[in-house]
Amino acid sequence: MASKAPKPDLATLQKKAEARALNFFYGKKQALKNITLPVFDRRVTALIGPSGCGKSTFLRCFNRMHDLYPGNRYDGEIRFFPDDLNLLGADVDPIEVRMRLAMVFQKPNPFPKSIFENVAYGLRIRGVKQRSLLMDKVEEALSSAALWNEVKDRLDEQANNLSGGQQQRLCIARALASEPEMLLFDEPTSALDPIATASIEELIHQLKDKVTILIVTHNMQQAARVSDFTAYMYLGDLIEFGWTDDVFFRPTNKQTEDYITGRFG
Amino acid sequence: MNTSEHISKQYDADLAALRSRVVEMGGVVEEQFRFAVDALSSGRSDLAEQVVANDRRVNEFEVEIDHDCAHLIAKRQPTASDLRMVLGVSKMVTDLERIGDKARKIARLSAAIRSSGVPDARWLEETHRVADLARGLLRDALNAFVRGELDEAIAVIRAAQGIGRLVNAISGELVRQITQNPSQVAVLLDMMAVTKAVDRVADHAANLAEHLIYIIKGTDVRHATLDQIERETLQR
Amino acid sequence: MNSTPTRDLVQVRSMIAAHKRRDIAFAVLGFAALTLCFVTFVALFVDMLVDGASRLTADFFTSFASRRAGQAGILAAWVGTFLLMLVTAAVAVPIGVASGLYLEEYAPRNRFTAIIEININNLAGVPSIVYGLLALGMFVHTFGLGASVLTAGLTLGLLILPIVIVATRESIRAVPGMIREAAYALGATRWQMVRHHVLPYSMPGILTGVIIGLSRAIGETAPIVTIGAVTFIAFLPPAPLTAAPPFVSFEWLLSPFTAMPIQIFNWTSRPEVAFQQNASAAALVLVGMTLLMNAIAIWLRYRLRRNLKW
Repeated sequence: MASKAPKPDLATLQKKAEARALNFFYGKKQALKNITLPVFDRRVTALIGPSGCGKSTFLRCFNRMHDLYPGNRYDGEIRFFPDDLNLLGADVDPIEVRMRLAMVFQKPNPFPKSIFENVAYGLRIRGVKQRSLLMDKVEEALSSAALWNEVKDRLDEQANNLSGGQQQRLCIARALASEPEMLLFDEPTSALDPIATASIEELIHQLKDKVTILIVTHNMQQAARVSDFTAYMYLGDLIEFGWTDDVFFRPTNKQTEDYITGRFG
Repeated sequence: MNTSEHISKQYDADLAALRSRVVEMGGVVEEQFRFAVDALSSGRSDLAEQVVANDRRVNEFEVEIDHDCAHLIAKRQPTASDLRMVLGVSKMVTDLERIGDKARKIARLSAAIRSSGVPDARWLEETHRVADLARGLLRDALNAFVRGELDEAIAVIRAAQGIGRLVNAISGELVRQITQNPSQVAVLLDMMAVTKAVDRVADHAANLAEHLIYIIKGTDVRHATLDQIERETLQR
Repeated sequence: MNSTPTRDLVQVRSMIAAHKRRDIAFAVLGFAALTLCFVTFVALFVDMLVDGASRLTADFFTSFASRRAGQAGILAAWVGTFLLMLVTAAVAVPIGVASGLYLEEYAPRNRFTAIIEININNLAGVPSIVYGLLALGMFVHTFGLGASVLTAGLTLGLLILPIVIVATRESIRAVPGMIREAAYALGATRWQMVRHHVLPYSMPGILTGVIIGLSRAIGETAPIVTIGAVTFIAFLPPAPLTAAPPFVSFEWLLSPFTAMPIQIFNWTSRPEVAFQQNASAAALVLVGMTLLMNAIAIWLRYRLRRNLKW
């Protein structure tokens, strides 16, 4: 069990990002309704809720992935600190946003290249050319992703030869290589077996001291294990937000309680 | 307490079975206590023997229910109100078992006390009265559990304090008798033990109410004053 | 169940047996069809082989056409076809791939692009002589390029352009969306994503399309006849490399030429048996050239695919 120190007051915690009155539309359909939610610095925040509640939609607003497809519209802000930038601003370049926030997807999607090239790609497009520098950063990223020891002798092998859990850790290393300020995890373990899932969760625990993490998961126990804060969403609304301990022990909202205890019908 | 249904009917059934087992144990324990006090008042040694023999059942209840709680946690990973229920029940069962122990102790001592001829009608009457009050508390606590009523739980805690005062009066009188009749100290000490046992039963009934508040509200009021309890639980 | 299981089992068994019979019947028919095709091709090929194999000497490859069948060779023809394929590829590949890439990755999805898409797909079915007539009017007369390698190359390039475009689009479409999203999520621009991920992965497919196109172009007779390729030519186009500066010459593009299909057609239409033999031999060479092109493509694809796996 964690130490018995009382939890810090939310007002004293530093924020890394904050959604403010965020609405989102897929064409005419409103998928997010007036979401205001803080994401605290170097903490893990989990988004839970039933299918279709908008948690992945919300996550993908942060790195402007919706810009890639026609017909999507943002309304509201996501402020990003410390420079208080509005990530959704029309004058803000989505490429710049994606250089600062990295994403790990549900199904591991390494490039059909070598392990080394996978991790190095983010660095290459940031202009890093020197082989020795690339080598160092790739090693650092793979170590942070707890994969270095398993692949250090076969960096030139195809990434697709790795197991599912290893591939996902490779994707995490790839995301970490460019030292993002925030990591976005979109159901990172739903395609993995329990052992791989546990190793990813352990990794998240190690990473959170260095980088802010926002994770979408449909596995409530995972949210309880892994996160400091939990947000429960339903049909595009934010129903409850709070310390994970509180949300899972004594939720204030009956809807949250019903979902968490499996009374959701 | 959340009374709507789980998606898993089996889960609902498991929780309902757990609750009814607790209520059943409560009923048995209440009966044990009643018989024990009756054995003391009436001098019926057969009743006393029955209580002593039946304590085995109470212990079995405790073991079974704790076992069920552990398995429920392993199987269902309950959260929020379900988790508080399971944890609360586990604690309640401990207190119920202690009440059963006290009943057994009273029954065991009743024969020796009666046959000594020491106790006067007054002590018997007062003890019986306080015991009835304690038994009432136990019944109220169990009812509050069944109904999930926060107010009733707080009332039990409040009433337990009143019993404490009555018990002090009785034991004070016993102390006086000990100093006056030192030759009867053995029996008087037994009588003191019975008085204390009744007091402990009231305490355990109050504990049951505290666990119920934990189940309903999630606040741990085991070491809070009555004022604090009322403030904590009635504001949210 | 109360009904006797044995009776139901018998029914099921006879039903399965009937289905199996149909299964076997189709396998037999399919095999027969395959055999028919195979036997036909083998027969044609063997016929060609028997007829013309004796003419496949070194002289055959290094001699020009002649009125005397025994001395006639395919030098001008195979050099012409070779140069023609170079120009065709040089025209069709860059334009085709770039068009396909633009249509698939950059163009917005609206009615205009939908119309373009339909038109391109339809162009693949236009008879090749129509391309010849177009070329005659536009390249030969309006642009004044004459009956040259360049004209023929442009014509055939246009001819196979739809094939290349369609193949390019199909291969690009086969790149999984997850890979694109992963690249974008790392901060890649659209061009970076296309250059580093989409193009390398679709190269095998594009290559296949190019080879299919070239295999069609190599045998096209009508368009190059229409623009005026001659049948009797006793010289080769000027060499691309010269002794004098600037060491590279493009004169060969504007030179008259002939091609293998034309030579074959010319020889077939002569009555002498010897010329028929020449035609068979030339046809064998043409098939050989096509197979060589395919082999190069297969080798290239193998090299590329070795590094890629989904």
